[in-house]
Amino acid sequence: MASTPDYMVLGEDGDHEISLLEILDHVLNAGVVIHGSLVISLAGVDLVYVGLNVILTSVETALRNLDQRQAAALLGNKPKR
Amino acid sequence: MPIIPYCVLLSSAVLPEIVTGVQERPVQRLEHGDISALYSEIQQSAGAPGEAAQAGMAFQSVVQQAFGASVVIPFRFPTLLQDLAELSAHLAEKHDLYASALARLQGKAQMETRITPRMPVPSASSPSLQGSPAAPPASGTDYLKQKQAEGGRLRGLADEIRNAAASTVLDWCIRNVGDGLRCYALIRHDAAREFKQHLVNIKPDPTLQVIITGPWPPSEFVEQS
Repeated sequence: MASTPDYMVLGEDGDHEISLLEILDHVLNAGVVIHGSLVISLAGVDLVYVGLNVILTSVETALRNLDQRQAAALLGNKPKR
Repeated sequence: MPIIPYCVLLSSAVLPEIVTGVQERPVQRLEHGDISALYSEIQQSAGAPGEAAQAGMAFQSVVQQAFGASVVIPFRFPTLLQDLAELSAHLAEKHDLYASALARLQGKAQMETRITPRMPVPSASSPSLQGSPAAPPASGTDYLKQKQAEGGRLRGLADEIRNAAASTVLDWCIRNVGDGLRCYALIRHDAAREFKQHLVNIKPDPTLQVIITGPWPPSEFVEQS
């Protein structure tokens, strides 16, 4: 049973194809967190948090390099199906 | 060598061939009795722009492919472990929790609902927001009252969504996040479309935005309430 996640905005018609931002929002906020000594550090900063900053920066960078139409599509402002 | 774990699943689960994951590294499986974990060995990188987002997408792709065949408990991205021994120790420590959760959540998924206030945009016909719920507070007391009212609207809408989809919702939990709510509905994996169908007639308060995504692996329901 392989249902690809999609997304719907309440109050709008139809489903939308899930965007990059929605997927990244999901993986950064869902899932089991492993605490304590299992989280390795780099220069005293938990790599989990370094990773989060890199993720956010890289998404902003990616969006800056897209044209306006592509950025709007990734942010979920897609034409209704 | 550092590893990135993707998810925990039953050792008996038969998966499709998942060739590569993060950094296009092979996806491997570590078995620990009746539970297993998928992982990849990775290189620590300088973090070039775009690389982390790509890694996140690759991570989700692995989890989603596995979830298509069996229930999984994903790890938060990006969780990095020093080596395989660390992952093995974690599975040993959490074995009973994961084994019982995987058995209980077989055939289930979660739908995620994000409810957030919309940013107010003054228009030509109503250039001033004064007097509206979106108007900036005039005082600390006004701010607290505004926040309380907003919280009430968010919770009210969450309850409306839960009630509308009640026939598909097996369990429900809510997290306060930043300025909004994240609601998680545990459903049968094959009931995602039905869940959303129950919500199409809900017209939310125009000051709120509601985005529903899924189905996802039921990670919010690993620990029983």
